[in-house]
Amino acid sequence: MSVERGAAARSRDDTSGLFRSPPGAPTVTSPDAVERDDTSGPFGSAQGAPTATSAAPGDAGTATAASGVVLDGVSLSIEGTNILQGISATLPPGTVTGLLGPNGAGKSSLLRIIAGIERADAGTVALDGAVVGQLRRREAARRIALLEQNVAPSVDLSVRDVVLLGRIPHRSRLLGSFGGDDDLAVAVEALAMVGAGDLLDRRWHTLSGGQQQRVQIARALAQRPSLLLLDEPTNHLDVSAQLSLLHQVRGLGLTSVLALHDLNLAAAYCDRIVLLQEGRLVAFGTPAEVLRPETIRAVYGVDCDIMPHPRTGLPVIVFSGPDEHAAPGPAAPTEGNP
Amino acid sequence: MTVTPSRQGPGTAAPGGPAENGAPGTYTASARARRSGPGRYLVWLVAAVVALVLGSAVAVTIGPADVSLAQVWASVAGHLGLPGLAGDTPVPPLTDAIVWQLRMPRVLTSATVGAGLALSGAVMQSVTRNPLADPYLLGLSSGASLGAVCVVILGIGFALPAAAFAGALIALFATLNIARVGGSITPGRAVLAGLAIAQLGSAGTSFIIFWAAKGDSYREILNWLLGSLAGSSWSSVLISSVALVVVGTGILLAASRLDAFTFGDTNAASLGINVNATRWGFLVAVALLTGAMVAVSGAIGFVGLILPHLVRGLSGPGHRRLLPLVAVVGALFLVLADTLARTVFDPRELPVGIITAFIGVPVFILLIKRKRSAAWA
Repeated sequence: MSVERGAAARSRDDTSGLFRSPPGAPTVTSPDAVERDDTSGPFGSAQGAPTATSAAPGDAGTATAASGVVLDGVSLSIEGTNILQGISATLPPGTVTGLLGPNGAGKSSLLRIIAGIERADAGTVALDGAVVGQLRRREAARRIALLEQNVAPSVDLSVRDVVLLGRIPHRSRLLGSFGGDDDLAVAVEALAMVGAGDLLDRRWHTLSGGQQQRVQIARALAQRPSLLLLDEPTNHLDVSAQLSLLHQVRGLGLTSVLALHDLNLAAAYCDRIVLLQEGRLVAFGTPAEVLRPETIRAVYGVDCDIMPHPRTGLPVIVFSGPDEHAAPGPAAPTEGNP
Repeated sequence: MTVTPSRQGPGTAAPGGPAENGAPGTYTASARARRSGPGRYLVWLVAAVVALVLGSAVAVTIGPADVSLAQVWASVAGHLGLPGLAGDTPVPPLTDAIVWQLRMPRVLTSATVGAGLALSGAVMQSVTRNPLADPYLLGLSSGASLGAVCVVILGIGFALPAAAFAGALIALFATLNIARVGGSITPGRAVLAGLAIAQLGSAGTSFIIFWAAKGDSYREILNWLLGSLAGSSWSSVLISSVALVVVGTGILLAASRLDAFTFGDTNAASLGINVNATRWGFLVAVALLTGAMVAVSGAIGFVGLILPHLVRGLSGPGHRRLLPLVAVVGALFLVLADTLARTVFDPRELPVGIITAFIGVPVFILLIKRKRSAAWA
């Protein structure tokens, strides 16, 4: 399953649906995809089951293929309230994972735990075999970059200043304030990677929302992370900016975890989806596996139909309002009911 | 009908679509004009240092007794044990005493206090992410005044700077605790809480001086509340410059960490910063610095508030550049303000805080007007 989606992901730029295949019909179509299968290793099999039975942490430490992110029984409670309960999942390297769930499901908390900013009460997060909670702060910041939602700077600053913030974890501790000669080169490169090289000298507050998010991602890339975590990166963006941003994130080829609200964006841009509800893992797998009408109804309380995208074949979720099934209201006057 | 993006759809996912590219040329031009490259920054820094040295030297010549620059030079060189550099300018003993015992300590105290307060303000604005934060507005200065007055008037057995530091620290804790709602401190509440603490500290200071009622209480109260450098001596120079060198060096070495707070706490944490330890480390350092400055000069306002904003325009927001320049400009500013304070109404002398307020309040109002759009509340 992951094999097929990997191929689709890689081919999305240069072809128009050559590798398209209906959801749920795995096909290995290119050597590229086979190579990808190798990298995902023994954990690739975990993707099949909606509730993941992930590898034990012992495996993560010893197996050579223990790259990517391994969540093992991550739990968190704050003042007696369970925020997260036993989240386990394996995210192979290079994949984009969507973190879905209603407000308060624990998406942001899980991202903060994966980033090593917050400590889990139980369970571990491992990145490429290293337990994140045991890394020093600066070491974690060199491997994992987290982008919060809706941040604003406290002072007027330039794009260059923003992107250079990402170099802070790479500076030496004592005299770090005066080093970093190659930092600007890294910053320029990071901006180019998100297609924002021309923004280097702009002031932050003159940028559009989409440009600001792009610059923030460049800041994250300047950390040279192997894992990118984005908390609702498409918030407050217009539809064109949402699409181009997620397109850009996919193109980076980094292991990424994105908290998203828009199920259709998740279906279109993510290899895997982690669906949370009230701190519990409801489903984990490919969009086609996770995004089913009965699952969405159970988690969001909304009726929907799922159909293949006319061009890509990827799942498209069409929602129905609360009344549209039971008793059509004035919105659908043609189907009058006695 | 839900519109769904297509991965292959032409155009939909083009990076930087037309909507994203609004008039880059105009912005780039203005950004270039405002950008300060390393070269331009160095020019500003050197210019500020030269202005500080020249301004201080001229300030020493100004006063009721006429002293020439050459005499200042000769006197200072003589006292520093460099008679070879003194030249052959004759310095009468009285002039020498005026230069070395009265005016030099005063100008040097002004410079170090100005540097310390400006540095404190810049650091506070960063770690609290509050453009209005400064030692005066958040109550640290009046807390330090109260601590210092307790020692001076009541004779409580602490060293003066230690008591001022304790007062500043207590005021800081009180302000931040009052301002805290549900774990987070909003800039607006911090300023309101600081106002309350500042009033309490001022009232306490006035009360203690009245209680002890000896001689010219009113003048003494004004000196502590508005700040005055009239009492400067070589021991004030020692206190303020040791604090500035020790604490200021520590702050400069950690300057890069202040940058990490630009986008908030979580962002700082994701950059590998231990947010709480770093913030409290900086705040305690600022309390120490403010305490030492207030101990020798009373509570001088607006230096810490306005100078960081003005200097950011020259240095950019990065603290590795901002902090050294703001310290030098703060020193220059207070040397000039104090020279005005003791000369404009000669022979009458004003508390220097009146001058800094006359200059600072209009700038402050400009800042409020200009930043109206920013999220302050």
